[in-house]
Amino acid sequence: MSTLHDRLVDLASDAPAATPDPRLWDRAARFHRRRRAGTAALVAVAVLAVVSLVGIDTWQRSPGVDPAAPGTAPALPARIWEPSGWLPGNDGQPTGPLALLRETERNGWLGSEDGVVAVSATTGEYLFLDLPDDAHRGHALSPDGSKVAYWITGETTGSPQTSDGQDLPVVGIAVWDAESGEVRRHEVETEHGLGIAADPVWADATALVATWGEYRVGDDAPARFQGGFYSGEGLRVWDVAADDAPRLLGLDAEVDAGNGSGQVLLTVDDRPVLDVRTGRRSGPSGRRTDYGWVSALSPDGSAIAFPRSNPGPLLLLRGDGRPDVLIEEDVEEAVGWTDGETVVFATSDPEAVDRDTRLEVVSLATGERRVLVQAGSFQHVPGNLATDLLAVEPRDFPEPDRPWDPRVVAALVGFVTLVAGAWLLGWRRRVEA
Amino acid sequence: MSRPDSRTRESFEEFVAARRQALLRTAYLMTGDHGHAEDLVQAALVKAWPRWARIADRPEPYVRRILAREVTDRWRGRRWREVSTGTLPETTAETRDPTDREVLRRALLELSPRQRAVVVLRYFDDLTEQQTADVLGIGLGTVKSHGREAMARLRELVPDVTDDDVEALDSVAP
Repeated sequence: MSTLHDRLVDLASDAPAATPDPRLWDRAARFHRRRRAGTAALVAVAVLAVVSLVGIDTWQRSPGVDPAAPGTAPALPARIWEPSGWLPGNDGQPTGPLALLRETERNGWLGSEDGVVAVSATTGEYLFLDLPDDAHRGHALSPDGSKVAYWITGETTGSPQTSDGQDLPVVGIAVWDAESGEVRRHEVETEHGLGIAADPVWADATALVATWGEYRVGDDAPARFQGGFYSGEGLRVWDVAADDAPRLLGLDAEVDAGNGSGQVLLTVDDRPVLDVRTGRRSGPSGRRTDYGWVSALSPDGSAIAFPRSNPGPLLLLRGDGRPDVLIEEDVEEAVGWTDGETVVFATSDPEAVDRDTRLEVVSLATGERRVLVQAGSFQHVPGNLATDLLAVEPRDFPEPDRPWDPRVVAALVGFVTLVAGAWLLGWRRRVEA
Repeated sequence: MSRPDSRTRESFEEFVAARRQALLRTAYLMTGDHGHAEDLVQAALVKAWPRWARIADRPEPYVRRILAREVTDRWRGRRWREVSTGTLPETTAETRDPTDREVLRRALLELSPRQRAVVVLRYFDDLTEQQTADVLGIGLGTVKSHGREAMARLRELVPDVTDDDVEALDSVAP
């Protein structure tokens, strides 16, 4: 009996006879040339696809609007768009005067966080503001659009209080200059952090009115001591053009709105108009203040426009008399005054599925109305619009970029690379020698 | 990759002339088909071409490794339909009944390509299990299990293949 080896040797003798093949060398050379060319072509296509995706993504993330020409006058945009959560940030760089702010979610690779989008008043560009130590507890744009006030976070001397809906303890207030990029800070030495009841309000381009209190306890206190903060010492005014620290006004009240001329409207029944520089009070007596944050004080402080309900007819109050009806249709809020004789208000179609706000102006003299800004889903609150610019004709700015979700871009790049790699491997295997 | 020079070409063509028949024998045992065997040997030589300058001193292990791996790769890619031919191939050997050869050829075709490669490398090319594992690019354990399963199957299909075959080879294995 022969072994398996012998039997295999015997079977192998049936193998085909080797015939001379003088062209094998050249065929091999051609085969490898073809394979190299195919590989190079496929890699080039894949690289091109990846570079295109990354390039488009980078391009979308880069500033998409040309810088404004020197001397370009600021203006509100004629149309306000819904901002994308993937807009680029300003990275601390000055933006120039701003038309409005929109607090919105800022998307990131691992989720989203609070963010504030600013719209340039000279280019219409939309950018997230990267404000140093921003506690994301409210922002206020000065009436001329040149400064943004915000609460800053930092270290407390004791255990911080973070349970009251805030992640970061507030330790002060800061003003970011949109023209220079500089930040002016006022920090308060605080054991557990500052409690904030309301956003700061600008009385004019440099006078900021704010109020805060101190938390009584930190997170480490027993549960029965949690909640509430000292009411503080009332309103303070901070002249950011001077070197002074915020100054107490000796008044404990909330502020409805500023008129851009150094006066603010307080949520008090009697003489609600306060001149923040002199401390002088004026205005009607006995005004009911049911609708805070929807009123607008005239530039000279003598008249207040406000809707009777929310929404409701737009009323005008002068002196101590009864208010006159300015607009009988429902109005959501009074936004501001363009001058002593023209009021800007916000209104929208209550039947519309998507909120589509219009900022309209009405002349006190003639009752004539016209649309100033198509504001979409934008809702005005004191401090999110450069109200001085209501007096300037709005400008048609280009629609802002809507950058792709970079996670989708990364997935596409990965997919293209994977498919190209798999196809390349398959092709190199399939290609006949 | 540098372009092979004329000495490299000479070395390549000398190797092909001297060793092509031996490679065809191994390829034939692995494929059971003349056309596939020729195709396989040619593919192995062509694929070895770019590295010829570096392997010119001892090209055969590299070429055989390509050849063995090409068998299993092609099987994975289903580029070969393994067929048992109805007609017997031409034979030149005189020592054995052609019917016995056909039985063995058909039996080998019943094995998976990798099992067949293990049998051919171990029992025809006389490689050790470790060398077989290196040539096929698989683990030693896999070679052992494929070898065991292949021999069990061959004993079923070819009655006079015995355990002695395995023992005889294992006794020379390091």
